[in-house]
Amino acid sequence: MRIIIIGAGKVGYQLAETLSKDLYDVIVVDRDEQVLKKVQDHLDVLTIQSNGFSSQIFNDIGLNKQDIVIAVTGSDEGNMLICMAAKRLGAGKTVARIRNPEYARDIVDTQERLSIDYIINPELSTANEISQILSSSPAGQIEDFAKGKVQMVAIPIDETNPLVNKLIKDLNYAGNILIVAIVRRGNIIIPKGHDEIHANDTIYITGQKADIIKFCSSIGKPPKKVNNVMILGGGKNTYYLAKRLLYLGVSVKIIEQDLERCKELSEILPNALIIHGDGTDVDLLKSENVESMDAFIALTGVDEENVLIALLAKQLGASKVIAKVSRTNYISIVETIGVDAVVTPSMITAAEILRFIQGGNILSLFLIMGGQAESMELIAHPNSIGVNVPIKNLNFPKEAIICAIVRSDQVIVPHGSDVVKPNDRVIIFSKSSEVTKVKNLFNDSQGDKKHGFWNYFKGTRFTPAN
Amino acid sequence: MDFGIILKVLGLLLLIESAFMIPSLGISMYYGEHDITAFVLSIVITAAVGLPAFFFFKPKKMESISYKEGFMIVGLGWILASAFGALPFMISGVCDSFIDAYFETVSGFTTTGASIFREVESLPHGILFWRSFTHWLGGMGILVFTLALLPTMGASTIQIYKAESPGPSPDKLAPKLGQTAKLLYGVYVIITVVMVVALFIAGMPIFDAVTHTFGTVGTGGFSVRNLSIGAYQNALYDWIIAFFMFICAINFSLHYEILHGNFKALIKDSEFRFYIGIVLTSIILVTINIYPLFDYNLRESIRQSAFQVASVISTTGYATVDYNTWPDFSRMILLLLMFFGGCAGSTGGGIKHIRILVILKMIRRELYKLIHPHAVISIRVGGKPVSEDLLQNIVGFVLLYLIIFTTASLSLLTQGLDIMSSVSAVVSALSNIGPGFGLVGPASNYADLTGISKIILIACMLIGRLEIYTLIVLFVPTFWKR
Repeated sequence: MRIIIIGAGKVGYQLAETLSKDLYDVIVVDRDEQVLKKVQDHLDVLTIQSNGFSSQIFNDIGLNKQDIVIAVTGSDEGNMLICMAAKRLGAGKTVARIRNPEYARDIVDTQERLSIDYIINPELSTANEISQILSSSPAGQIEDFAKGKVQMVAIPIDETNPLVNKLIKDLNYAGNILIVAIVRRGNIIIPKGHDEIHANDTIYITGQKADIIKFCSSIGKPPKKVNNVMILGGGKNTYYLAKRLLYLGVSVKIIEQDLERCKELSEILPNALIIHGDGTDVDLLKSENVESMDAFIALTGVDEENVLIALLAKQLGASKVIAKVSRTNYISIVETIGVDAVVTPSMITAAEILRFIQGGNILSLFLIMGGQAESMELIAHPNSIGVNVPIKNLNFPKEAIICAIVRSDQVIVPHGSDVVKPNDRVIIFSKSSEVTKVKNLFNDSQGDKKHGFWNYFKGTRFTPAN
Repeated sequence: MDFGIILKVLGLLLLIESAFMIPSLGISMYYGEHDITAFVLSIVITAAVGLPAFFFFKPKKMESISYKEGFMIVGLGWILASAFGALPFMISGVCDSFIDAYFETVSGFTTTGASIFREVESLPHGILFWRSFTHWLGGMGILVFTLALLPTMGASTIQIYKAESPGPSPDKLAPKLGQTAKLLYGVYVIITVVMVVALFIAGMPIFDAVTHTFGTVGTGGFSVRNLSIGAYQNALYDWIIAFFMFICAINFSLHYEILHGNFKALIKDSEFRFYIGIVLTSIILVTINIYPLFDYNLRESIRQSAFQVASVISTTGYATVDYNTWPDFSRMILLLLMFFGGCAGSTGGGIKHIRILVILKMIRRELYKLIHPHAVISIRVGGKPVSEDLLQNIVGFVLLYLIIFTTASLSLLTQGLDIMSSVSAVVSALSNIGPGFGLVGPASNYADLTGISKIILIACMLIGRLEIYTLIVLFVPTFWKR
């Protein structure tokens, strides 16, 4: 199966990186030679310099039914055009990124006629992600698994937290949850019993929703319902987010610099309060009662501005601040300096497309910390080597952890003696280097047997020293 | 620089090399000759060094082999592989000095085919087989083979591939490098098998057929007969070998296209058109020139001229006749062809046709610019524009080639060689051909050269095979600064 990515921007690059490590054959097409050179130097993919809008490129590649074409160029219209051409020339599946809200509304109806199998709208996905983060107060990031039966939540740890400086094995907390990862200074640690939690870490925990709420209360962070929200910047992200929050009954205040855009917003979001002004103005923020806000969300187009104003709002008293950061390089530092949560549209988009592509037995998939790790939910195949063996005997990779097993309606937080049964849903947190190994444990092993020697080479050589 | 990863890959390389010595051991056991112990010892020593290096050293980070590490791996890899490949020659006692054994192995791996043996027919079969087998291994690149075994190295291996592959910008056949390496080796094996079968059907003894095939598809040139292919005096052999020499100097991705029924790719490829034009012109000119020499026998003249032209332009170095005795005009044409070499992405050496084609186009552009000073003209090869970076790279390459050629020729002259011998020996080593003219002509060998001359030629062969930049960059001081 080949994956042809048109457009090597942030999302294109992220997709190419994750998919090529996942042993897919990836072809990246872009117009810009310099961009392609970067891709060529860092990723094991085929690059073709061409204008993706001309169907000539698909003729050269020779598309077939197994191929997936992903159009993530800067232009919505171009992406639609690419998908139509690709489908006509024989591509199996097509994915297009379409960000214009006006298209997004109509396109669902005409999707089939436009030959697009999957439409991704980064702004809409980002808005959904943010509204999910808001729904559970202490969490920085929150992901649902098994239709919401299991959640994975990121919790920032400050100095006053009772967990600080305790060993994992000595922790006494309420609720049946599992600490699956500690993020310290931008590095992900899969904790063992003798690891310690430090101040300014972020921990990822999994468990059932009720248990997570119990846990949060026990560390002094009971969830609080979000009633009013201030959003900085009036872009597309803000539009989708405000619309959703208003639908949930949250009152929304939007600060936007551009008067024309304010007028537009007030037309399309009649229930929101639109304020024309400069978000960096402390007096404006104060006079708009930033201190009484349950959440402050910075969604301007400038990463640095988002982070700084979010910190400012935090200082002024907003209970929870979220910043949009587009550059993945920044993510690791931002979470350590006091911003409660960071959203990165390119990561969210990439994860959503990955989920679509991998389909099969992967039910959900999230990228953590700029793609350093993945959390995923998959169905254990009856023929896989991972089933009917106690977990401790599984030779499970060290840099990965089973977060939960869902068997019909029952959620099991696993221990070494637990067993994964056929067709269980398994929720796994894994560093990206181990993802293939983990997946192989629960995939149909019959088809793999004849490649056993090759898999040995693939899986066991060159594991990183740390 | 991450020495962990460098040593680990080099360890794997030695393991692979020791495995590749096993067929030679089999041959010497079959013939029951005295070189059995030499191969057993060589295999054990090579594996004993490679095994701990491979398992002991851990890379610091697996994500990336940088440019630097790529150059180190390829440069050291070839030097090391040749050193261990020389063991059978040393231990079996067929070579007196290490320099001789090393010369022979470097000549083998770089597919040069210059030999220090005065007489090869008395050598044991195992040694003869190993000698030819090094051609076959070196032709496609030993490290490209190693790449195919290292799929988890992922993207970073592109640096190794770039450093070892012949030609200005190696293209991938498949999205993954490991697959590309496997496809190329697939094509290589197919050509090899077809050629062995062809020679065998034509009546050549199987041992001779196999060793000469290795020498041909790797465009090497070691023969198991003292008089090279000329020893057989068989027109059919000559044509078969000439044909395979000719096609092995063509880009292997074109072979891949042809195997997939895409014949159009051949005609579309401008380097191939240029190559075939040069080959045909040279054959015609040489034929006319040597016509009187062969008693005005047209068929014989064409055969001799075609074989020699194919042999030199593909940088193989087989001979059916001592062309040292040909008229100066023909000798000059052959000398020029030595600079040209094969096409990019083939097993042949030399400057490569694509670079010469690009330089000719650059000259034409400069002339145009004299007439239209403000014209903006992009240089295209096969309909695709060539970037200015690549143009500079190519010009730099050719100049560096000529500088090294001049320096090495001057150095050889101090060793008492005449001008024709030293010049042709250096070109022949740089372009990985084998025989030159004068004292190192096809009927003679390199045995009588001084030790220093041999060392200079060893350096030239390695520099030429690794496309100059890869090895020279290791001697740039900034390369070693942190």
